[in-house]
Order: sequence, then structure tokens, then C-alpha cells
Amino acid sequence: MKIAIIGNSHIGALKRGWDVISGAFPSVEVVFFGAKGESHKDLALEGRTLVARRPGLRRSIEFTSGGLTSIDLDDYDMFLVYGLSSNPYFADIDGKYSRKAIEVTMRDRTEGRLGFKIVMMIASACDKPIYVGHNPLRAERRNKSSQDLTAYLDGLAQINAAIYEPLGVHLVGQPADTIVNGRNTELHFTQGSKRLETKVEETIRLHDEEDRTHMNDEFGVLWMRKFLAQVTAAQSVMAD
Amino acid sequence: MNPYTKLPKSAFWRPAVADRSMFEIEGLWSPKFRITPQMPVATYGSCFAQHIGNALKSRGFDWMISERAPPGMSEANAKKFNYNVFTSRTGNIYTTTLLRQWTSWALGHAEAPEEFWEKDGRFYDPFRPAAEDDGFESIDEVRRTRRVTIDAFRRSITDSQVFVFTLGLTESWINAAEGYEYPMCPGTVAGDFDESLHKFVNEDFRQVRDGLISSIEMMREANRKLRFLLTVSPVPLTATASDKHVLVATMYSKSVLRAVAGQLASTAAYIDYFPSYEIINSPVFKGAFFGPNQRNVTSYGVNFVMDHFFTCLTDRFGPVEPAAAVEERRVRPSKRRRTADEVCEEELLGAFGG
Repeated sequence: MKIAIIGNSHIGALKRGWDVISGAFPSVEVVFFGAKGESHKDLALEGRTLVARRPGLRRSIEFTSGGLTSIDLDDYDMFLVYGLSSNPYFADIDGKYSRKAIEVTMRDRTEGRLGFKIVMMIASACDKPIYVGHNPLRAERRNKSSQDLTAYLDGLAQINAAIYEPLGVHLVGQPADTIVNGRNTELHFTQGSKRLETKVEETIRLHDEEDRTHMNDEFGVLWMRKFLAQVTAAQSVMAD
Repeated sequence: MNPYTKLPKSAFWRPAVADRSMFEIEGLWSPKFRITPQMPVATYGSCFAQHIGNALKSRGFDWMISERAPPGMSEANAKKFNYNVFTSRTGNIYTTTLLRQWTSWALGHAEAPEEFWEKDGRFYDPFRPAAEDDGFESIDEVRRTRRVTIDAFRRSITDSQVFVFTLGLTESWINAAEGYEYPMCPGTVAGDFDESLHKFVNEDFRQVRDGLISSIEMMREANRKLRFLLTVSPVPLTATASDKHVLVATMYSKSVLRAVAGQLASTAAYIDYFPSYEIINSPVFKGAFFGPNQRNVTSYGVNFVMDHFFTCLTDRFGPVEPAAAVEERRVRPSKRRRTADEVCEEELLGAFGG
């Protein structure tokens, strides 16, 4: 099974997680196509291939994929579009809103986002499974808020039913054991034990204290394990 | 020597008005109380009231929103669903008697009636008929979301420091059997008009005044520190159900509303009147702030009114510092925070280049 993971900086955690657990999944091959921020806006569909329209994006894709300069949709069995401003939706468990307002909100939170545009490009060219992983929930310490996940899980079910599933796409939630306060990633998942190896080490030292949006390799391990368990189960069902 | 001798120039037409360009007329309002960016301000009333909320927000004041749109709903859709128009999603409260009705529901003096309208399989709230263009999916949804609005209206009484109310109309429609008031004539936006049940009332001075006094008394009972800023909508009636010409009906309505607002503002230190009505409607301003239909107020006119509002506040109490600036100074970090993109770049380099 060959999976293409397309995303921005958030796929860094998935890559590091995959590096840790890949040995346990010998039949799975993963290729990452990463670029910072919203650089994937310069991705275009040409025939059945996603190509970079700018040199910067092309270089990023080449760097992160290990030498590929485009994404040939025929080369993969499934796709994961991760981050890229994709959002979860928290269900209105207090009943404050009308169903119509909720539907409109789910569309507002999805359509127009870069991740959704890429999903639509892929879906328009092939009928292979497409998964979406939302941006990691903002990290916070566990506090006195309710730890109930109902709003998160019901929200995922609702946005899948209303937006993604009609397109044959599935939004994947982040692992329950990474979530606190019903809507945050536990803070320690932002604190990597190993330092990132780049040329700007002084800046990186500030990272753990300030950044609440990018997760570490422990998070990546949990996320990839859950995702692979989900997709392999789905593949088994399809094979049956 | 006579009482006029020592009066300021603003008391005399010639120096205050005739000798000036209309754009140089100043000091039309001397605020009774300070409004600072740290004070939550609730706004309700006729259409013109929403301009006050927007102007407060754009200048860094604390325009209170007690009923928020679903998180993530776009600004455009929020407006479409009537969020962020007034402090809560009541829709227009044109009359003082309707204000009294909302206040009594919010503060538990009365229960909202169990009346709901149906049209083509969708359901509408008679008291918020335009809350959602296509109505609601069920009576239960109307009832549930109405309760949300009533609760939010209560918070805008209990949690705000200034309650701005723009008086809009004297003409109202009531349910003759039950005595409650509709914000719009049944059968216009939704519902069916029943001649035997739905009665037109063109309120007189006493009815308008009593509605406003009752509302203010109830609100002050719930929040002793609440202050009121009254304005009168300068927008003419779009239609009248009285037997008068719409222009004459407009002048009657505005005159009564203006008189009530003025009288109440003269009775209490915690009630003030801001003359947006005069700024737009006075012959001195030559109708310059109306659109071609002589009814809609242009955005230039709205800005002119609100500029005057903030200038008068500053003249009376000194410059105001937007809440955002205060907050920024309070929490300004010692080090510059890195932008999301800076972080993103490092994440990728770290994961794939290591």
C-alpha cells in the first residue's frame, strides 16, 4: 500500500512518527510532499499529476519526497491531505444554533481552505481513497474544563456526513489520547525531546515554549498509528 | 443684562449654524457620562442602531455581542444569519413597547408566547421573523433558538454598562387576543395576516414613554449601574398602516419618539440622548446624508454622525485609548514572537533534513 501525504509544516510530526514506526508496517510505503505555510496553493492538476507551478514549491516537494518533483496520482493507492488549514468542527452540544447555521458554518470552515482545494483536485482526477487530517488542535495544559470528547467526535461525524463523505473523502480525527479539555492537544506534544536539526538552532530553542500548533514526533507516532490502523481496516473491508 | 447674555455661542443660531458650513457645526451633543473602550456597550433598536455597534467596534470600543455566531462561520454568513447585527439576535426592536416585551421575557417577568409560523415546511419565529432567511427546520428549533436569544438579551442587560437604544417606530402590530406585540406585521416576512386577530396600533406619546420607562426600570432593577443612551432613527417609514400619507406619518412618528427620548433624557443622569436624528434630518444638513430615495442614510452620513459622536465624547472627557492598545501594552512580549511561517519552515527542515 503506497500512501501520498501532502501537507505543510504539520506533516513534520507525521514524518518523524513514521520514521519511528515504519518497521512495523512493512507493506506500507509513505511518500511525503511537504512545503511550508500555504505554498501548496501553487499546486495544479495537469492530467493525472499534481505539479508545482513555482520553483519554490517544486524544490520543497523534491526535498521532502526524496527526489520527486510532482505527484503522479497513479503511483499511489491513497492520499492523505494533512494540515493546510483544514479544521475540525466541534458539535453544538448546547443546542445554540439551527441546523442550517451549523451546515453553513461547516462549509465556511472547510470550503475555500487550501487542504480542501487539493482534495478536490485529487478527487476530480481519480477515485482512490482520500483522507484529510485537520491541523493539530491548539496545545494547552489540561485544565478544569470538561475532558469530554463528545463535541469533537460528534463534530467529526457531522462534518464528515455533511461535507466530506458525499465527496468520498474522510476527515480523520487526531488520537483521543492526545486530546485534553475536549478541544486541545495536550501541551507536552509540542515539546520534542530531540531538537530539530537546522542551521538556526537559537530560534528553535524558543519553539517549545511558544509554539502551540506544531506537534512532536510522539504525536506523529500516535497519529500515524491511528491513521494506519484505520486505513488498513478500511482496506480489509474493501478486500472482503 | 438678561439670561441670554452669558450663553455660549452654541445657544445662538447665527454663530452656531448660519455662519458655518454644515460640516463645521460642532458640539451638538454634550455627553452626560463617559463611555470608554473598556465598557461593554449593548446596542438594540431600529435598523440605524446597527451602525452604532459597528462604529463602536471599528474604533476599538467594546461592542458587546452576547449571542455569538457559530465559531468559524464567515462574517458574511454571520450577518446573513443575523449575528453581529445587534448585541443579540433579536432583530429590529422598533418600538419601546417591543423593548419592554423582550425585557420582560429576558428578566422572567413574562413568558414568550407559544406562537410559531409555518410556511412551505419551514418554521418562523413571529418575534424574530427574519432571524434566518429560510426559517427553521422545526418548531422545537424555533423555540430552542429563541430561548438562546432571550438568554443572550438578558446578559446584554446584566453584563453591559451602557445600553444604546434607537427608537424607530410608533406603528406596531399586536395580537389582540393575547396582547403581545409583533415586530413586523404578520404576513409580511412570514406568517398569515388575520384581520380579526392582528390589530394595528399607532402608539401615542404616553404609550411610547410608558414602554420605555418600564423597560428602563426593569433593566435597572437587574443592573443598577446600567446607563442608557437613546437615539431616534432618522430613517423614514417605509410604509404606514395609518390612514395618513407616509411622509406625514413619518413626521408624526419621529416627533413622538424624539419627544419621549428627550423627556426621559432630561429626567435622569443615567439616561442620555444622542442627536443622530437631528444630524441627519435637520434642514441645515440639506438632506445630504440620504440616498436617492430620500430614505436610506448613506455610509457617508453614518460616518458623519458617528464621527460627531466620538468627537463629542473626546471633547467632553478627553481622548480615549482603544482597549486593544491598552491590552497590547499590557501583554507586549519582551521578545518578538515568530510568525507561523517562520515556524513552518523550521518544522519541515527539521523533519526532512535531519
